[in-house]
Amino acid sequence: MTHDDYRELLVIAASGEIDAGGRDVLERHLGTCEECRNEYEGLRALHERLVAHRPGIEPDDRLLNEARREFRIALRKEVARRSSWFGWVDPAALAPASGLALAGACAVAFGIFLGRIAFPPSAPPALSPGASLSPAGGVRPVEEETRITNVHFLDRPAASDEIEFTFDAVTPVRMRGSIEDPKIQKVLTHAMLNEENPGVRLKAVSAINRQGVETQDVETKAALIKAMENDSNAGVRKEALGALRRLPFDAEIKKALLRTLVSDGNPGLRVAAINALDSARTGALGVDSDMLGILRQKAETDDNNYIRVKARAVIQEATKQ
Amino acid sequence: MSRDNSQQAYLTMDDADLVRKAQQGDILAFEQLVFRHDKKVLSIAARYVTSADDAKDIYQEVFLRVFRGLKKFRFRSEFSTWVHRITVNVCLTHRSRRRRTMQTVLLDDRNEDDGEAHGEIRDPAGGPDHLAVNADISSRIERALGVLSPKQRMVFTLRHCEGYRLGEIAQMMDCMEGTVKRYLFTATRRMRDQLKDTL
Repeated sequence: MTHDDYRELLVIAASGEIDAGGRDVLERHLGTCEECRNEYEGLRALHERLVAHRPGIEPDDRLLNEARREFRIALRKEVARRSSWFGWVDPAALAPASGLALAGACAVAFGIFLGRIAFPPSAPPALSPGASLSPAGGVRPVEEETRITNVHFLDRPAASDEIEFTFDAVTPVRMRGSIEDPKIQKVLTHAMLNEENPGVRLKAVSAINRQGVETQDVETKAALIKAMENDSNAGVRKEALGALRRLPFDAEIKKALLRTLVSDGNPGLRVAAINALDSARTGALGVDSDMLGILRQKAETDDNNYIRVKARAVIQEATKQ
Repeated sequence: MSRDNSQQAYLTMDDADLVRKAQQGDILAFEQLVFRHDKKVLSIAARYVTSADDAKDIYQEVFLRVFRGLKKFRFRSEFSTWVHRITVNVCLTHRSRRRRTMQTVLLDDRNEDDGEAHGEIRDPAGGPDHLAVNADISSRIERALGVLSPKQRMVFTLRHCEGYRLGEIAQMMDCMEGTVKRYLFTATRRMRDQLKDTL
């Protein structure tokens, strides 16, 4: 071996990855070569410095949670893009152009999409400002013109003298009514899941939670579960969890709470989930083997001390019964 | 698998099964794969770049590429190896976008009078300036890493900071182990030159 070969071997050895044969060869050489001994000591010092003062930034839980949340949003857009027409349409351009103000006299800006959700399918799109949309008078378009957005031209045969395109007609709508009104609930549900502004999503969930509606329809419950599990904002997730606690505890809610306990990066949410599960423990659903398995895992591995202690306590209580 | 299935089923499922489910459009299976591998991805990214935003950008880009490419994944390697290879590629590309800035910083710092600080670094006793000294060492290491090429830096941080073996690094970088050794050798020599006053 040449001296340069030994120097290469030194680099490998100093980084902690050398096999027994290589180590023997190197040790014999180091016994006779002072220059390489010095080199080796220098390389070891470099390695130790790097271990003690790792470069870059610390990939801690906070950064991980932020990265996960931002990725969820990006993934949601990616999924939306895939499900759009042949993936041509930019999902950002498809998002409602205007915001939705709730709790009181709310100026709502959605398009035909909202119209389809809020009103019976047979109702024509509200394109004419001032038109009466509801006999009860609780829903009416505000005095603004319909805006046309997302015009998208479709291919036609070259010989054709017609053109074909799609577009969104966005009409501001004002809506007022009781939280018990299914139409109101549908709008809130839509806002809860689709509004980009987390403040609006939070208000939508809060409106449901504050009113304490105990007999939610299936769609609203599903939306609350989705918000609790997937919303990028911890406040919205927490509020959705609170709203779900006011509903009759069932297997669906239980499974959603377990998923939150397992997956949510926010310890506050996991604490709220385990508390909710504990409160409902004595009910008809009890603690099944799936729940016990998850609790045992949390009792051992959760980063949060309270959750570990609480999980152990729930297991203890459950196994007593 | 529907959303109603227990999360525990995903927890106990191996990567290959989760990948198959995710390839069929099961978003929960994909999320489980992300949760399972994202700490390593973030760690590699965070050691490679110098800001939290950059690390998060890399994280996001990696998993979007994984999501987009999942249907084409043919199990010719472990899923984790594939994810790590994407991570390395994204890091190298990201680095190339930022490189000019990093070099400018390095040139600007070249004339610093740092003789006194060197003396403090050699003193392991600590004291009131201990934190400042640590920050100074970290800053010197960052600057020294700035002179490496993207691939040298990647190999160097994967080996010294993340503890990957040379064979694993070769898989991640899609090259021969000998090539990785050469990168490591060159990177180490350059790092020693840059940090000789602090070692």
